[in-house]
Amino acid sequence: MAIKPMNRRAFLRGVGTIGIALPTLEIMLEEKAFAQATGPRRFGIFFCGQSLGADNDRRNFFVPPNAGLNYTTSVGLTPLQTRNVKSDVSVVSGLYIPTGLGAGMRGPDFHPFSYWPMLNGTSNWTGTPQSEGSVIGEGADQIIGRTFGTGTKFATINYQGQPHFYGNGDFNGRDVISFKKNSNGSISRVVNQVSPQAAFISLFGTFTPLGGGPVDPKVQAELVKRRSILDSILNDRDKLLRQLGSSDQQRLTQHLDEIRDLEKRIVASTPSSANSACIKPKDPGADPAKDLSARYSNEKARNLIFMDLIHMAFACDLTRAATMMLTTAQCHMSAKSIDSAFAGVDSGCEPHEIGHNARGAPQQAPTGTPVSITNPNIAASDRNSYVMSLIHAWHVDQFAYLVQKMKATPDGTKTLLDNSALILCFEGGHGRLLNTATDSDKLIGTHSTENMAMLVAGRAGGLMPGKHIIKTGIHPAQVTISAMKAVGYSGSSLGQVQGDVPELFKA
Amino acid sequence: MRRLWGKNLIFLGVMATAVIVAFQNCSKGFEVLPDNAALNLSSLSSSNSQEKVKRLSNSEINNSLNYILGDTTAPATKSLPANAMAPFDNDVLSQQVSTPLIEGIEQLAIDVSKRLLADTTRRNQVLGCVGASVNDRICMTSIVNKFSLLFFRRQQPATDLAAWIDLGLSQAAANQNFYDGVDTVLRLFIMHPRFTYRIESDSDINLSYARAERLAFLIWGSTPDSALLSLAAQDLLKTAEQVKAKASDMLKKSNALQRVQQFHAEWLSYERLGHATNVAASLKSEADAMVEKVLFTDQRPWTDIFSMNQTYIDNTVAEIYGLPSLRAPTWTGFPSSRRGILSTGAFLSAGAKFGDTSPTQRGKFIRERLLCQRIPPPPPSVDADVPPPPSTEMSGPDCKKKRYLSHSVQGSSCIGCHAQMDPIGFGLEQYDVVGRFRSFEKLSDGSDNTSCPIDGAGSLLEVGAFNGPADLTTRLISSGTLHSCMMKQYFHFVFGRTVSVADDGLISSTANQLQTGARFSDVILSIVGSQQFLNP
Repeated sequence: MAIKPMNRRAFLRGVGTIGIALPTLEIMLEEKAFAQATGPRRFGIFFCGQSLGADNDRRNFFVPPNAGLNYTTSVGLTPLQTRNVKSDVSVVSGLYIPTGLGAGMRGPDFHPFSYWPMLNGTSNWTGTPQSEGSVIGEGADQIIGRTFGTGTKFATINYQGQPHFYGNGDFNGRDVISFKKNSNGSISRVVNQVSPQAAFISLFGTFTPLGGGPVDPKVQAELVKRRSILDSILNDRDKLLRQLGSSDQQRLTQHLDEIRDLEKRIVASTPSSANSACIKPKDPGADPAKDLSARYSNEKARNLIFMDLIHMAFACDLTRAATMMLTTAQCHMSAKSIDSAFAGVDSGCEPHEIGHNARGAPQQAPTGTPVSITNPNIAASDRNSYVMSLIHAWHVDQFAYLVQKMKATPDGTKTLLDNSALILCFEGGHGRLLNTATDSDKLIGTHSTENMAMLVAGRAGGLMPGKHIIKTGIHPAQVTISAMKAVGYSGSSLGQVQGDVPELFKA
Repeated sequence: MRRLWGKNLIFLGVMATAVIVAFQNCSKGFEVLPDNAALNLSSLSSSNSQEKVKRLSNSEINNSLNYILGDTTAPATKSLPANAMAPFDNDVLSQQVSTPLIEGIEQLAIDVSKRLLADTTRRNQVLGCVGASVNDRICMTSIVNKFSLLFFRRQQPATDLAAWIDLGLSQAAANQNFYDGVDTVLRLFIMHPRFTYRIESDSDINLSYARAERLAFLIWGSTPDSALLSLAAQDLLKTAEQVKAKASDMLKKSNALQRVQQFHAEWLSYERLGHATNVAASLKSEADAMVEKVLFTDQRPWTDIFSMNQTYIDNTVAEIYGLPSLRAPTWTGFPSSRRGILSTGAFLSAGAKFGDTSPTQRGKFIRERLLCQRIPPPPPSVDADVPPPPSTEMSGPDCKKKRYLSHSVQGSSCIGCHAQMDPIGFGLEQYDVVGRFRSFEKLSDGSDNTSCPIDGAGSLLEVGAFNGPADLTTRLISSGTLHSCMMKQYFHFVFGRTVSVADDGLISSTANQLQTGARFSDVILSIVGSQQFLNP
């Protein structure tokens, strides 16, 4: 008996119209979902390693109190106004990653993996504590990169501003924002580049933009040399893999695949699709020093360099998909140096601790607090959410920095921002801790994936930015899907999550 | 005082009961893994097979490039992603391949080669010949033969050697510069997986090369030197006696000390201390000096690092320990309350959380690192990341010990695991996050909270009640439990993987050696003469 091919759309219709779909099977994938969009569009995911509110404090200084185009700018969103990009960015709030074993749901432990489903639309566990951190879905940036970036040097670029965990132990998954499908079909966590200098060398070390004058013969010779070295190594592939066990072979194959990718990037010619703003940026020089004892390695400087590189990588069409962790999940970076309001605190005052008890943080709103939040003169017992939003503002400012640059960069008859969809997302929301029926709704905390919010910047694919959209209870991956669709993705799901946010495309 | 003692008895009583219940509960709900179980999470998703492909750790790459090319800049630390510490930097299942890794290796190769070729004196000395012309085949052949052996640690097939010589010469000709060809060859060798990985293929025609490689990375954390490779070339590492004789000789080199210092620092977690730079350096220097004195200078039993009553301190550490100030670092007697490496600030730095000591974290650390047990993660409903209230809000009844009692309420799901951790940590509670002695908990302004005295009374089921690190050390040594775990940890470091059942025999025999006063060198010789090492 012949097996009738499965129609995924029909199958999903059958399971109802809720946002959560069933697990994706290979047979379900629609090739046409990956149809190439017209013209280069850029896709970016940016991440703040902090939730949106604080423990035991119902007030929220990040999510605007009202919806629509004329929403009130909150403390956390103030930089959108300062950098004059409020009309270029939408806010989607009320998002929710359920806890449980269903599709797109997260495991019970908040750190370190609970945010993963919004980036790949798949559940991050299989029911046991040991299974938390499972990866079964490809990341949104990877899908966009391999679909629309085939002609670019880099399918994706993946950066991270915070180079140290600063807490006990290692990152252990808190530094992951992207998930890559390997040549054998398995999915693995993507390791981010933490060195701005290395990122510069990788993107622009031997790069000469078209029309940027004749290529330096030394640069040309170096490219030939690099290629001959990599060729020589790759020619050894069979000999290296011979007589190895399967796990050893897999490990070495991944290494050789990465070398092959590096060689492809060297061979790739300077893209003719680069826009007129494409120039080789200035070498940022040595990275800011990593300072473990101060728990601050000048993340702001690092982030802005990375933003500059992403901006120019987009302009030069070196890539069409980027991710950037401004800070990592459960952020233990000291807040001491990030805002003048924190100047007097000790290095133990950090975003994660502020979310819990505002340890060592200033007790009152600093001078200059926007009128809309007229100095709340917050009491020590409930100052946390306000202080936290100063940290949010620090992140939003850096995101807005890139938005501002892209808005000022011509791209054909439009701007780079007009042809882009950029997301800023956060580790968690502000609500019940486990989002379960047994979870007391009297408790409100930072370890929650209720009431999450995301920022969406750009106008690619008809995005209509500048408003606050309240979408209570939808999965944040639906916002990710919207951004993917904006850059040409014709599918309707990401991993196990289906549906987008139509309001992002409406006036 | 009487009142305090009474409180302690109540606390210890509750905890002792809890410990008994704990093992019952933990063995059901939260199973304590058997001694030979994997110690890191990565192993949970992978078989404990004998991996034959292991990437060099960053420190191993640094050491190898230092030996082969005289590059002392620790380039891997600068250019490559940091190794995951699991808890050792060479744990094979924690190694990830990534774009930053590959790009970092390429950049490292470019930098290292460029530095060498720019320094004519070092270049000529290291290369061993001077290119007389662009197409100096003799010199290029010499370079390829020499460095392919040093980098790849094995004699290479003639066809490969010929291809690399041709590649170097063609590159030299293309750019009319002999050293451009040398640069190509060196970068190729540095980037090649035959250098960055230890690949033990069954096609190894000469087992001596594989043994030379194992010896060098075990004892030096570096590539085999020319003498060792020469022995391998003559197949003079065929017998256990030959291997042991060479190992004994290798232990005399200074990098053998650095390697075993690295083991202790990663095992006891003081490799990367999160203190101010000078404090971290001083604390690490103290622990390093203790390892050097016991294992190398005095050649005393290895376990004397736990029982020695002397330490090597500078003024920073003297201030922490409450000793008179010093003009220069010196050996001095420990205060009576301290003894051995578990009394140092380096060790006592482990298990800090929320800016203070965490009895739970310290207890967990001791169970995992000194007893080789693994405490399962907290149940999903527990949020272990919520800090305690600021100390200014604490009063007498809310002192730390009282607060931790909530972990031990009968019938609660917490008791199973916390009873295995908290009482251990409370036995070290008189020592703060840098190992400074304290009698009271601190208020947020740093002053003593006299409502909350710290008594330092703790207990560990395997050794009984104890008070302070010296007491804990004495009891751990006399119980014998420490020796077995110490060997398991060392085996993890030696083989770059978690121990397996197949290692049990050797672990047991070397642990017995430790109990009877074996020196570090005795243990090393037992390991390198074993079948696990000779024919893994």
